[in-house]
Amino acid sequence: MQNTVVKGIFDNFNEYLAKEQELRTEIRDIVRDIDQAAKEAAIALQVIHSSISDVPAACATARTHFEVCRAGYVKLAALIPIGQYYRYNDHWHYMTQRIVFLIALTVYLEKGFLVSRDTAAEILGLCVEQQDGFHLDIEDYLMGVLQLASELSRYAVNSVILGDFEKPLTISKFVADLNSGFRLLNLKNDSLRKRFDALKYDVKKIEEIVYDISIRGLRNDGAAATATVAPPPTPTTQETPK
Amino acid sequence: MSQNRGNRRNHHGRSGGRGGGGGSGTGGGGRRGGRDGQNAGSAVSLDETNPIIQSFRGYARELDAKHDRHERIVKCSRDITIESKRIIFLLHTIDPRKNNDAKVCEEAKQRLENLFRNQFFVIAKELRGQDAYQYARAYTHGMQEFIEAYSFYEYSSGQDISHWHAVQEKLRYKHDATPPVKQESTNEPNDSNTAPVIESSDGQPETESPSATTTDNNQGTLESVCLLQPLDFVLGLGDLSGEIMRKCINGLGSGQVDSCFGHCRFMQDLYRGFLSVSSARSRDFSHKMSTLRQSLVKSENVCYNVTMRGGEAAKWGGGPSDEAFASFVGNANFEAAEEDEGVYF
Repeated sequence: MQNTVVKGIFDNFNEYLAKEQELRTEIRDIVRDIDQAAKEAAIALQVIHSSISDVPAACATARTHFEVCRAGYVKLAALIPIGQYYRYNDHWHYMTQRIVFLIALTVYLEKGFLVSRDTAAEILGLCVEQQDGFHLDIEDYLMGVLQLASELSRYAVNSVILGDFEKPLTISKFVADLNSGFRLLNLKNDSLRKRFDALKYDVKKIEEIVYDISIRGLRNDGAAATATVAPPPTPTTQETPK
Repeated sequence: MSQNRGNRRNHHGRSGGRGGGGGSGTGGGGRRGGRDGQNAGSAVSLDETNPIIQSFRGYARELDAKHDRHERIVKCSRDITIESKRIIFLLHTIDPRKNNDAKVCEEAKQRLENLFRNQFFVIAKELRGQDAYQYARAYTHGMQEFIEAYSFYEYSSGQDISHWHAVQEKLRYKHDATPPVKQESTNEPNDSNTAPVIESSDGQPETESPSATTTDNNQGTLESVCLLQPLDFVLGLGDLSGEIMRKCINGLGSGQVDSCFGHCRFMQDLYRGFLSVSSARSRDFSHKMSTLRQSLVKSENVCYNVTMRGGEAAKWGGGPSDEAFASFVGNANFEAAEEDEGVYF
């Protein structure tokens, strides 16, 4: 008699796994489409490292790709049963992190501030609160923001190459703010913590750039006159980033 | 705290930071970016008016709440693990020669019911309104250990192993909406009124999961569910095999030769079940499977020896006495069980 009971349990278990497998296949298809759009947005945004004038156009292009992502997320949200977000989220959380990063970069380039979680969720057509359904997970958002810091350290280098000495200063301020923001969080010893540990290298990198600019008198705050002459290190421009 | 000073500027800062994303409607002011605080930027201490700082304060709260909840569930899970191990230990004391099975089973049952009523109820309350899968990893070990104890109890007392739907139903609680306090009496798992629900979710395992969300039946009554993942259940059954192997060997020690064959057959069924599973997305699963196989081989050897030499033993000792058995079942586990005889409680 035990025989039939055990068999029944395993038959049901197999049935259950088969159903789950089916749903995962559907999820993967949608995720692939969203991922493709995200990739195109990322490619479009790479232009910021080589040209200053093309930045607004790149942002506009990226935003059209976000629209595609949004449509994909709506489909995904319809597919995931209520209350099972975290059962399947391994399929999309890396992708979501990257898209959050792209959105954060776009918003930073356009407006110069950090996109909030609410706004990022809104752009992707997601909820903020878990209770409301398919939402933007807070850790995914924070991971995206951390990726932004790395990209900005690269952006700072390249804007110097392109002759914009102001940008690294604003970036430095922004990343320092991010850093102090992250210091408010009690992170567990998880992936977010590890990624956060990498932030200090981004901060350091950007501070070095600011230092290089300052020491050569290339920053034109207040002492614009001396900066245009660009003499070798002078006592007037000895202030260094904090 | 300088709470007052910070508060007034909160609104402005935040509405700027969110890009008008519907944060606080009152702060209609200027679009202040992240650089708002630059004038005061020389201050090394935290600039509370900075929109980034403000939003991160919110994120910190949210993360802390999540981690705390996680920790509380982990703590409960540990308690469940410990108690389950003790129950299993207790069930191993069943000895037909002492005729104590009824008494031991009754005690095990009581303690299992206690787990349902206390620890699992606490977890269920923590999970109310949450996505249970988010915290599933926090209590998976406790759950597996519990399933092991529970099914071992059922096996030992001669019942059929429950389906996971039945166990899931027992992990469904109704309680008052008033601030959750333990209500030992009202939450007695009651088969008669949960039976219809089992039927509806039968063959449709997906339906059991949304139950993690709150459903207000009548006003004042909430339903909390401690989600049992079928995978946890099956892994728990895998652990059960180890216990049955011990039982099989102990049975030999206590002279219950016939029972060995029954135990062995059950483990074969279990192994067949595990083999039939094609794609469990879990590393634990294949590990459990190889352990299961080892246990199975051990108990098959016991049965082999009984069949092969059982007759001879009867000749040697004039009956299946312990000493005679010890001499021919050269099995380390058996020896250990033999030594503990009498002291084993």
